[in-house]
Amino acid sequence: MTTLKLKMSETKYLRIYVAVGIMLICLGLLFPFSTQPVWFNIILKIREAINKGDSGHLILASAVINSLYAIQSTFIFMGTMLVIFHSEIKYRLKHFDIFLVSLTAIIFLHWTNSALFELPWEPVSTISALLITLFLFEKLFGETNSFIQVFIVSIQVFFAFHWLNIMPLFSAYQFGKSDLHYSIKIAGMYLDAAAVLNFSGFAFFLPFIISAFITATLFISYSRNIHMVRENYKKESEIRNMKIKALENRVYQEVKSLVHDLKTPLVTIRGLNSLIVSANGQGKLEEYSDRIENSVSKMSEMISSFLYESSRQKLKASELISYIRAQLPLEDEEIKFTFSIIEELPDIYVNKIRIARAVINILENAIVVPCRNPHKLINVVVKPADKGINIIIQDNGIGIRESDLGRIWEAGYSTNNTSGLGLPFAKSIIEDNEGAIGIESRVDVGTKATIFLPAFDSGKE
Amino acid sequence: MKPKIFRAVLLAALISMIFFTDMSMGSRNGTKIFTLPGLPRPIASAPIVITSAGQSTDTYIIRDISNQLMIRSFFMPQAEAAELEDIKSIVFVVGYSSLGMKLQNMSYEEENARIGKLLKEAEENGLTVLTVALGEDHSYDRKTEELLRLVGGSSDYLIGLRESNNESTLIELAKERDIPMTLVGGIREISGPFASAFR
Repeated sequence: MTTLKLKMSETKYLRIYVAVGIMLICLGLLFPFSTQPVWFNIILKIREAINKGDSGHLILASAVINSLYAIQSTFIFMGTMLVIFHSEIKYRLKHFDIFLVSLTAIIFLHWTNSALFELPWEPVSTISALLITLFLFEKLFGETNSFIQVFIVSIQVFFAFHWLNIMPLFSAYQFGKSDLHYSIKIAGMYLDAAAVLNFSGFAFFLPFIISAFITATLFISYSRNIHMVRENYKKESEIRNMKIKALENRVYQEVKSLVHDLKTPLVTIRGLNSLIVSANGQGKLEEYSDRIENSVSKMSEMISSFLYESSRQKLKASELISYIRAQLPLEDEEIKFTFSIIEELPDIYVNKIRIARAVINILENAIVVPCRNPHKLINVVVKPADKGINIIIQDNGIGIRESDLGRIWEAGYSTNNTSGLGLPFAKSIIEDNEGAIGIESRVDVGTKATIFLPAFDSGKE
Repeated sequence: MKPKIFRAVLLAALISMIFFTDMSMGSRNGTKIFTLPGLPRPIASAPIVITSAGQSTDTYIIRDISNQLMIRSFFMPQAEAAELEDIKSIVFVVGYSSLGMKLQNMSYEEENARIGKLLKEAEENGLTVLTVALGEDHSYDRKTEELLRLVGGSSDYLIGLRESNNESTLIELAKERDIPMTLVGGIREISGPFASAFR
């Protein structure tokens, strides 16, 4: 249904363009008729030039006549191109045939106009200008798709070429054979101003033709720049979408980790349950029941922590560290972990499960980072800080270059061919819990991450 | 329609349009013709009427030459037969201009009729008829040739430009009717033969 509507609106626009094209052709054909007083004025100017012996009037007459011819040719040209490029002709014909059809149609319209209104036209200059305009049209319209820009360029080309008609120098090449151009030239020769006409012709032809090419080049390069900007914007938004998807994927991974963690208390429950069966009234039922209750509470706590991101609990720092240590893969013999935990740490107020995932992410970074030393050392220091605790994780890996440090928090940026999502994810969780994270690094020395977590404030709870 | 046939048709249309536009220079005389540099003795006398045959701006050039030569003249591009009273000679400047005709709100037929009456009046009253045809860089025009044949055939002296579109018609008329003729190299050389008709 939507496609059908789109097609209908497209067809409607195409019809409007074709109608505008036909209107422009009619305007071009009727142009000499509607501007008849201006044409007559040119004759009066030529007479005045002869009467006064002033060739300046001839230049003025030339400017008027060339403008009229240029406007008429541009209307006919633009109208024809609008019709051709918004009708089926464009799809049915090949490239060269479109060029040939355009050329024939435009010449035919000029020829018909000349025959109907008895207004002589200038075939040589018009066809020459037309060939140049069609060449520029192909380059320009192919890039910009803008008829207004084509109009600006084509009117300059037509205007430039019509100036060749007043030059006695080009009479031998069939330029300026129509009534008015001939009258200007013969009057110019009578007034001994042939050189003036030749000079004026060049003086107008060259700047306008150069200007037409420069304008076309500028329009093309402007259009290419706009195209590049659009492409870049498109790519950027694609990258942004990819990053969002990757972050979503990361959350999914975290959920998977949680589900994995949930298996531990389940195993305990199952084991104890089997013991209950075998114990069969040996007085241990109460103990097992308590332990099952503990495991269920643990599971419930874990699930709540994950489900309710903003939920936070009062927690002993040592409890958090123990939980983190229990989740770490410590079997790699080439990595040496040291944990230094200062006693008398204040209680903290965080979402245990999520903060643990964040710290584990930082530790995993320390584990995977390449190391030039024979053994990798990872020191974890937990010490009190102002209104909270600091967890400092330090490794002896290859470090991060200073130029890269500013970008490590960007999603998708990585120096180790990883997903580049760990650090932004950890930072986001820590900040959600009113904590902070900072990273210092020196190339070939190692990296130090400092995580601040807030202390429990009884008044705040 | 097959592409090759389609292209051939388009090219044929293009060529025929250019052909019918007629960018030819008319039939120019290839051989060198020696004409009089001017008349050996005057054949016309003032006052004269300078009129146009075709309403081109060339008439204004001849008026300017006449003024420079201080020949007593009346400039009447659309002169009528009734206006030839007390006139001794009439100068026709031949050149058809479609825009000039429209400006004067005249048709080609009306112009033809007007010239016919003027020629008849000139013949009846024994007026000297001079024909000047420029047309140096103008494209060949059938109507100009018709007007030239109409006026030139009844003229006493023909003045034209060498290597112009009117050259061959002028030569033909001069030969057929035994009319003295001068062909000059450029527009600025017209005043010599023009003056020779009066002095």
